[in-house]
Amino acid sequence: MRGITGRFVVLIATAAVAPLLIYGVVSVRSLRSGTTQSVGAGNAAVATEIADRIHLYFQNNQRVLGSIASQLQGTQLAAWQQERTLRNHVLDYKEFLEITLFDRSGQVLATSRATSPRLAVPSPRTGGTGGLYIAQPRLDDDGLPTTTMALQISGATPGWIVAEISLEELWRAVDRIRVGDTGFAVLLDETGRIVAHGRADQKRLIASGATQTPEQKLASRLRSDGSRTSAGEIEGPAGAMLAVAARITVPDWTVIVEHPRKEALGVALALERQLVVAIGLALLATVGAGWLWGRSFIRRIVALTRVTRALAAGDMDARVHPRGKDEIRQLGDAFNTMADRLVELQEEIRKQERQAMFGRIAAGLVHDLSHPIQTIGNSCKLIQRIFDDAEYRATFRQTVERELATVKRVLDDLRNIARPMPLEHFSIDANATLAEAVETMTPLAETAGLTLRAELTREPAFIEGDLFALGRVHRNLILNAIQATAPGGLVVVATEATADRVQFRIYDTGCGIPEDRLAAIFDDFVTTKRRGLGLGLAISKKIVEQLGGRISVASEVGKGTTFVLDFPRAHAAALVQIAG
Amino acid sequence: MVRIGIGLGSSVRENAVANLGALLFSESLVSRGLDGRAVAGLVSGWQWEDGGETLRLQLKPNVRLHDGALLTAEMVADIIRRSRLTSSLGFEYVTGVVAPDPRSIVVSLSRPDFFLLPELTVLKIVRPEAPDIGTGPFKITAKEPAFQTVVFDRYHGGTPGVTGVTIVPYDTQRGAWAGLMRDEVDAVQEVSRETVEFVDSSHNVQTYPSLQPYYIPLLFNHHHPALARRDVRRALNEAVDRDAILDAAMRGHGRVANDPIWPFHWAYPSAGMRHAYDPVGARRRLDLAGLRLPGSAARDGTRTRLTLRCLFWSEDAQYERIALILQRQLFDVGINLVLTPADMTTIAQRVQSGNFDTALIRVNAGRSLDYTYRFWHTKRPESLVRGYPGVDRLLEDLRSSTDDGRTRSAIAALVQRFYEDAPAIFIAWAQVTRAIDRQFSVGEFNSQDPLASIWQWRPVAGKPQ
Repeated sequence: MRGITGRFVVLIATAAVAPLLIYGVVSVRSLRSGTTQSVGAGNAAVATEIADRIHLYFQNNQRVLGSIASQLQGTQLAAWQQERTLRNHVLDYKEFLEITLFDRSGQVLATSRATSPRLAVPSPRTGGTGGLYIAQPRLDDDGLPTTTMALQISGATPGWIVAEISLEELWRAVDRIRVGDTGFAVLLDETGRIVAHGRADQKRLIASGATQTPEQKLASRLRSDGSRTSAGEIEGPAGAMLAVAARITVPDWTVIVEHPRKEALGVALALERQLVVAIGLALLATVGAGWLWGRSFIRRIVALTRVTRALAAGDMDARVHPRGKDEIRQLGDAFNTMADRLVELQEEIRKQERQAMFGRIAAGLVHDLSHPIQTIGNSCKLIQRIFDDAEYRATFRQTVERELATVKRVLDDLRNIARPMPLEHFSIDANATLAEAVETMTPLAETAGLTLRAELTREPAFIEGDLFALGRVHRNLILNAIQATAPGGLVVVATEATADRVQFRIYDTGCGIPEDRLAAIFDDFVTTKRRGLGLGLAISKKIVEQLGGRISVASEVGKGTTFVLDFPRAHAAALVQIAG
Repeated sequence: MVRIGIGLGSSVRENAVANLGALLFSESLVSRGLDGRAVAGLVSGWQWEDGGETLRLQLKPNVRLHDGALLTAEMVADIIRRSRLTSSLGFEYVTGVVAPDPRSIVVSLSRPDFFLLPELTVLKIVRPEAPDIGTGPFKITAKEPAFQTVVFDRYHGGTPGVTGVTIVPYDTQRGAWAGLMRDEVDAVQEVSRETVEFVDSSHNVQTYPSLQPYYIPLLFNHHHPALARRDVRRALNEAVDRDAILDAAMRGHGRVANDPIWPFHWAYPSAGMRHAYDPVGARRRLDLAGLRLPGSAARDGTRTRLTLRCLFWSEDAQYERIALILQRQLFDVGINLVLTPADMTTIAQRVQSGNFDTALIRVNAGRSLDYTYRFWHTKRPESLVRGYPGVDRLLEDLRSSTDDGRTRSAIAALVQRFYEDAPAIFIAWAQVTRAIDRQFSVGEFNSQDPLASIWQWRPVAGKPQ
């Protein structure tokens, strides 16, 4: 039944579980990749927007510087007026910490500073685009972020206008950027140094000048790609972050928008969990339904098997109680019909057997009793005629007694089959009982033209037994051997003793018993002879088993038959004790 | 171990390190409260006797010097006697100092002196022959290249919560701040609050802002023909918008100053007087003073009624911003302020020599008026003020006051005088922000300077030091 159950599980797994699992895996992967792409696209849009705004911020400052330069150039302002103009801008616009005007050779023309200007004309090595130079951000004396912008002035009096610009507002702008609940933005300069960091606990990276950051690696990758944006996953202090970098054109900085992966994929992960739970429940339901259905199916097969086994064991009343309307029901009904028919056939066979048995018993009784009765009848007819012959009367008496004894033996056999006689248990010498039986049967053997020989152990072979019953067993077996052996044959009676057992062997060189009849040879009313009740071996077997022994037979047709009686050996010490 | 970074200009850094170091290893007999009143220090109490001409002090028991010696009244009396020789302000009227028993010190004066107790707040009790040996919670182990101390385990106040203190000098505030961010130091003596907001809003660093008894004045040279006139000085005061300066140059971190007296002093009048910003009135007042705008511009194109040179402290960027705003505001009333940067030493020298018109500096007011006395009393050798004797008598009244009532009256008169005859433009009181890593708990912050109680700091459990 395990085979069917196993196949059933495989069937359910193949038909229901596997597709569900495959569906689940595919759905989860699709959901995750779809969400990642969608979040990445959204963050890329945010990063690009921020990059554009920062670009605009510097563009505006560039315009302001250009405007200041145009106010100062060619307007015949005195030096102090130029300085006041610059100072007014510095005081009015908090972004500008210092503005200094240089001529083309780098000489200071005017400055907003009350002291020597801190600014200088950018060297050619600092690079720049379209006459605009933006220096790497730094912290000013107050520890606040600043950078320097230098704008090349063309026209009648070429030179430079250079400004130190506070990046406070830029920092605040970066601070205010939130992607989702906890996503933030990071601003890096052209060297990869963090200029602004939207995550509160990471801002100290700015002052510490850290460069080997995951953001810096992402920015480097973006630069090497040459593309506008680049996405990746970086490991932050709060775990994995989905990051998108966007490049700012002027200055050559990079904006990175970071979104905690857990939060970015939060909805997808929640859906994923729901999907997994739904698939799990579906799997459970499928397996449960399959189990219940399979159980009802298999249970009926199991019941059918059980009833079949009971029937085979002889319980002819066992029947299945099929339910449903399917093929299993039909099978159950067919089985019950078959069992009913089997019972009927069995009854018929029994009836026929009883009739055959009765016939055989009747024939056996006729055979066994007709000869003595006929002999007695004949003798009675003769005694009427020669009653005066004293010798004959003696012969008559012997004949009648002998035949009556035969009748009595037949009747005793019948009674023993119906109700076994009680046996006595005494220690007897098996050799002595056999020797006596051989002696008694020797005339009969001689009459039949056979040799009856006893091969007994020298030492007495004691067993626990009933002298009379055991003698009868011996006589039965020896008589059967004589009757089965053709003239000139040999019947041997032997004993063999071991420390624990005593065996008697009676074998002959007779016709042997066919193999198909050996199995029933000890049954009642079974005989290999053409006549007789067939009770001798059955009675012998009962007696031997009543005495605690075993009887067996081996035979080969045409060669002979050997009967072996095996008894527990009774020891001399035990005998003494019993005797004492 | 606590590491404290100090980032100041070289001309003032040495003093700042010395002052902070003194807080660590030495103590005074009395301390100053936020309101300027004296509170117990190494003495457990004191009494004025003989109408203010005798001060009896009771020394705390079991106070030990770092060399293990028990501090006795005789030692303290000897230290005071030695200090008298330096002509310190508060000891000028001291006629004798005795120690009648091991825990009592009696100071006799020739006349009552309001500044004796304030003087005792600055008198550090150290061995005269070994001035690095004090009674403070930390012992000096090195002064160069960094000022280093370790805990003094027999400190009378209890066991300090930290094992020692090291003072790490930096050239600039920015350098000290970056040092804090790089974990080179655990605290910074002064930092811009915006910096903390920007760089460490993660709350790894706690800031402790407190108004310091330093005011920023634009000092006038009273020997200058125009500035010697009270109405001109008043006009200049009216021409200046202090609130705008506080907002634009100091980011609002401070308090407008009306006079040089600590505004939280217990005797400071609740209704202070203030020069309102009134540029129109200032122009009118200047016109009335004869300082009219010329009809035509000068050769350089300027058209101003008065040109004043202005020395400003250039080691702090904040002062340049203040100077620029002052320049613009005064220009609006026709005053041309010519700015000249200088370090504090140069400014002090030029002011004392009278080689200046105006000077934008930082002045220590203290919390107990003795600094005000020293700075503004024209007879004092350490005073930078020349030609302004108007407050001398009022300052003397204050000095001789022996009760709260007379003290209040004296201070009210001073405030009135500084308003009516302003010797300078008092711009603002400076606020200082300390920044301390949150790995240390500084206890309850009640506007007092947390650096004054470093020995009470405790490492926060679970945070690495």
